[in-house]
Order: sequence, then C-alpha cells, then structure tokens
Amino acid sequence: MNTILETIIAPGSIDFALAIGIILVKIAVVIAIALLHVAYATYFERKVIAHMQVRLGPREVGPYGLFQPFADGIKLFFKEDIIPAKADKPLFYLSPVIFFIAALTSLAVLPFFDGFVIADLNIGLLFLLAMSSLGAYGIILSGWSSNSKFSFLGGLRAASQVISYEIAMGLSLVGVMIMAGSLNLSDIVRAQHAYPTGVFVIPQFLGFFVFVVAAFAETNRLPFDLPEAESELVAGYFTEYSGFRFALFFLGEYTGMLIMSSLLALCFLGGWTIPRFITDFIPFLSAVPGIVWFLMKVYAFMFFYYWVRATLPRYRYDQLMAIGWKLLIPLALINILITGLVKAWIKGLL
Amino acid sequence: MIATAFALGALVVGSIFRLKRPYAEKLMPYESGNPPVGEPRQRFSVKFYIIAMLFVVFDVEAVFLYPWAIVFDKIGLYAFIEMVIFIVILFVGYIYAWKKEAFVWD
Amino acid sequence: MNIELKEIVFLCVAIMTILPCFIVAFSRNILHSAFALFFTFLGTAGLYFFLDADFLAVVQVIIYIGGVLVLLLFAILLTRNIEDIKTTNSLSIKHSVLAGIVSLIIIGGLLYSYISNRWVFPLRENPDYPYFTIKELGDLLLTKYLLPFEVVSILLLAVLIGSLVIANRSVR
Repeated sequence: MNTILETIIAPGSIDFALAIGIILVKIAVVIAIALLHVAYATYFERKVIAHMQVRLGPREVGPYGLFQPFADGIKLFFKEDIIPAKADKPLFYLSPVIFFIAALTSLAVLPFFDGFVIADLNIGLLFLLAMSSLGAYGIILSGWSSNSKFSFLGGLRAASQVISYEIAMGLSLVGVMIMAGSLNLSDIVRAQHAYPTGVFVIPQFLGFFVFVVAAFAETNRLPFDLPEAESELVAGYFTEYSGFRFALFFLGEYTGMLIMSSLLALCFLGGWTIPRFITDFIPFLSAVPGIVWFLMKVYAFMFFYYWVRATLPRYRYDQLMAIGWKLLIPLALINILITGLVKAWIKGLL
Repeated sequence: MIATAFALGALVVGSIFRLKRPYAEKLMPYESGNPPVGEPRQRFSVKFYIIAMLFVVFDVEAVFLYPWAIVFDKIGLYAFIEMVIFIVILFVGYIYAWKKEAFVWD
Repeated sequence: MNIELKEIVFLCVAIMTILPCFIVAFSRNILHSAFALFFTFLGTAGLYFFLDADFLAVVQVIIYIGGVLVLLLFAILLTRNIEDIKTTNSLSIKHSVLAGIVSLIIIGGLLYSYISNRWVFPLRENPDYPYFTIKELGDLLLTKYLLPFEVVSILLLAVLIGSLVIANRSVR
C-alpha cells in the first residue's frame, strides 16, 4: 500500500491529481481485462472439455456461442438472492465478498509485462500467498453460515485442504527465491532472463512439480475438488448460494486460477520474457511484445487445468491429505536443500 | 478498493432489480429434496484441528525461510549450515507427527 | 495535499482496526467475534504497512489470518455445545473489570514507552532505516540474532510435539 502511495506522491503535488487518475485507470483496466478473461475462461473451459468429450459445448448465444459468458452473467445478476432461513445473515452476506476481494486484490502485484504493474511491492510473492490464505477464510465462513450439512462439510474440507497445500506451495517457491534473491515479481522475471537457462523451470523442476500440484489443490480444481465434489456434497461450501453471490464465488475461483497460472508463468516460465537461447536462434521473436508471451504462458497453463479436469478422476480425501503432507512437503524441503547446495557450490563455497 | 466497490456495487444494484419471492420451502437448507434431518453444525473430527495446528507450525517455519532465501547470496555457507540445522530440528518434529499418524485419515 | 491523502487512508485503516474490536468484545455470538477479529488483524497489517514494515505486514496476514484465525475457528466449531452458539460469548461483570484493569496497564505501558523513546516517524525519514526490510531481517536473523533463531526452531518442535500429545489424549 505504501508503494502505491509513494508512486502517487513522487511527482509532487502539481501532478497529484493526474497521478491518481493514472493509477485509477490502471486499476480499472486491469480489473476489466481480468474479469473479461475470467468470463471467457469459463467459456473456453466449457468448449475445451466439450470437445474432449466429443460434444459441441455452448453454441446458441452468438456465433460459436461466443456471447455465452455475458448471457450467464446477466442471468446470474437478475436471479433471486436466496438466503436460507436459519443462515447467519451477516456472515452469509459477507463471505463471498471477502472471497472475491481477496482474489481480485492479488491482481495488483502481478506484472503483466515489463513495467506494467499496479503496485510493484518488494514482497509481491508473499503478498500473493497471503491473499490466497484470505480466500480460505471466506470459504470456511460461508460453509458455516449457510446452515447446511453440505456447506459445512465442504467448507471444512476446503479450509483444511487450502491450508495444507499452502505450506507446500510456499516451500516450493523458496527455491525460486534463493535463485532470484528477491520477492519482487518483476525482479524474479528479470533474474530468470539473466539466468543461462532463461526459465527457472529447468533447474527448479522439483519445485515446479510441487507448485503445479499445490496450485490445483489451492484453487479447489479437479483432481482435488473434494470441497465441491458434486457427487457427494452437491456443490460444497456454496450449495446454498444463488444469484450474484454465487457468481462472486464463481468469479473468485476462476480469478484464483488465473492468478495461479500467472504466478506459475512469472516464477517458473519467465513471465513476459523468452529464454535468450531461443532469441539467439530465431532473432525476430524478440520483436514480439512481452504481454503476448505472458498471455501465451498463462493460457497454456489454463488449458492444462481443463485438460486435467477432463482426464483425471477425483482423489479420496485421505489420499489428498497424504499427498499434501507426506509427498509434497518433503519434496519441497529436498528441493530447498538441493538448490542451496548447488548455489553454494556454484559460488565456490563448498 | 475498486474491487470492493465492484463487488458491493453489483450486489446493491442487483438487489434492486431482481425478483424476491421467498417462501418457507425455498428458504429450507438443501438436502436433496428431503426435509432436513438433525443439526447441520455437528462436531467434526479432531483431525481437522490437528491439521490446522501443524499448519501454523510449518507456516512459521516457512516464514523464517523467506528472509533466509533472499539473503542467501550475501551470507553464503555459514547461513546455509544454520538453516540446515533449523530445518533438521523441524524435520524431527515432522517425522514424529508422521509416526503419530497425524496425517492418517480414518 | 499529499499528506492529507495518506492521513485519510491511515484513518480508514485505523478505524477498520479499532471498530471490530468492539464487536470482538461485545458480540454475543462467539463466531461473530472471531469474524470481527479478521478485520482487526487485517487492519493491523495495514498499520504495519504505514510503519514501512512490509514484510511484517504480510507475515501478519499469512500467520494470523491464514493460520491462527483458522485454528481459532476450528477450535470454536469443535467445541461441544455448538447449538447455543448465539450465547456463548456472555460477559460477566467480574471478567470485564479484570479485562479493563489489564488493558489500562497495557495502555499505560505503551504510552510510557512512546514518551520515553521518541521514535522518528515515519521510519523512512530515518536514514538508518533499510529500504528492503526483508533483506535486513534475514541478515540480522542469521548473524546477530542467531541463537534466538535456533531456539525458535526448538520452540516450534516443542509446540508440535505438545499439540500432538494433547490431541491424541483427547481422542482417547
């Protein structure tokens, strides 16, 4: 927050209003673009999975069903907002809002291309981790406040799943932090570009693996969507929600996917840069603007999300916890030790 | 802040336009069409609590790792050995939790 | 004009920290108390931001909201008489008097330390204050404050084993 204030204050009081205007426009642009992407992420998910299952997917609204997300949005907007009779009203009202705000706030620290970031925090990476833990709080409260068995169980499951995998995710990023020597996401991307392999995924393949699995679990996606397993819990923690509050959960979940994909692209795949050995080989590729690379990487991972959903069955809850605690955490710790050892060896300390 | 404004604004505008026809059945908790049975907020397994406890411990450990990872370049081997000691001590606890079957769900 | 904006934001954060405290203390429903605590913790993180301690602020969110508060909620949901949760947080006069005395002592201590020390605010204007707090923290933690750092790991180990022992006993 301070960084935002300082970027405002820096030009002096004459440009003050202008600076605030620029910031506001930046925020509005990012949120509008992000929400549009989220809306179309749902469309692509339906299309991709439909084609994987030899169906056609949405095709009635507009050409190829392209206006389907808008139709869905308008429908949800005008739907009745049902509040169960025995629900805890204030908590029931607020929890989707918390969930959604936590997801959207994370967008502020993501650098989409060189120099375009709303708040260039020194600790952007940690900020993202913190925001994802806020989301868990919205989930557990929504589960409790709806006064339904499905919601309650779903909320509990979601909360323990998210906190379990958060450790694995945080630890898997420590390797990246060691290599980049910074928590600022722009710095991490620059450090990758300066590094011989161009991306951190090659030296950090263990961390990458842990991160990908944890990303699936953190966003409650298949094969780890136990909190909303429709065959046993109907819809999990948002069973009782309807109308726009349901839409907030839905948007929050997809924004979370978008953020995880972006984080993966920034920390492991080089963000808006491409490895130097590729640009040396095919020089004209360096003329492509950075945002294109960034979006390509993000969408590749979003596609991977859909692909996994269409392919893998759901895990059992005990298996989920066993993977998180018995496999991912030791793997992440080993990754940290190896990274530290190799780095010390490169520096000639061993 | 804008995110807040968006979420709240949409909810307020929505509440003006959308229909409201609540009746008792609609407000009942969903239980696949059957009338709800029993108390929804039951006591649950103590396992969830243990998981949360372990989470807090390991989260604190992770938080100590972050500054270490950042200054790794500057400090070098000495700091590395210190951190290995730190991790090993916590790993003992981790193995203890494993042996006590804190990660096993029944 | 610049300072005004910063002060307005600060006031909002301060209000967000203090107002929910009253709900925490006076709500009849203990879950509402826990929920209000969420905003208090968030506001505290905001105050850390204003003190230019960005790492501390984020750690506050990660550990207190992500960890301790979830633990607290689980503990509440785990307790036996969940049916009458509406009245679990009843106030008794004896307790309120005791709490009042304790908080007065704390306020006195804080005021005393503020008056006797005269810190430079904001810290950014203090030339010794580092720009990257996390780097300085890492440096100090691994050199000057090494012993406390290793003791923390043993403390964490003790917490881990202790919590498991207690939980196992309560299962049987």
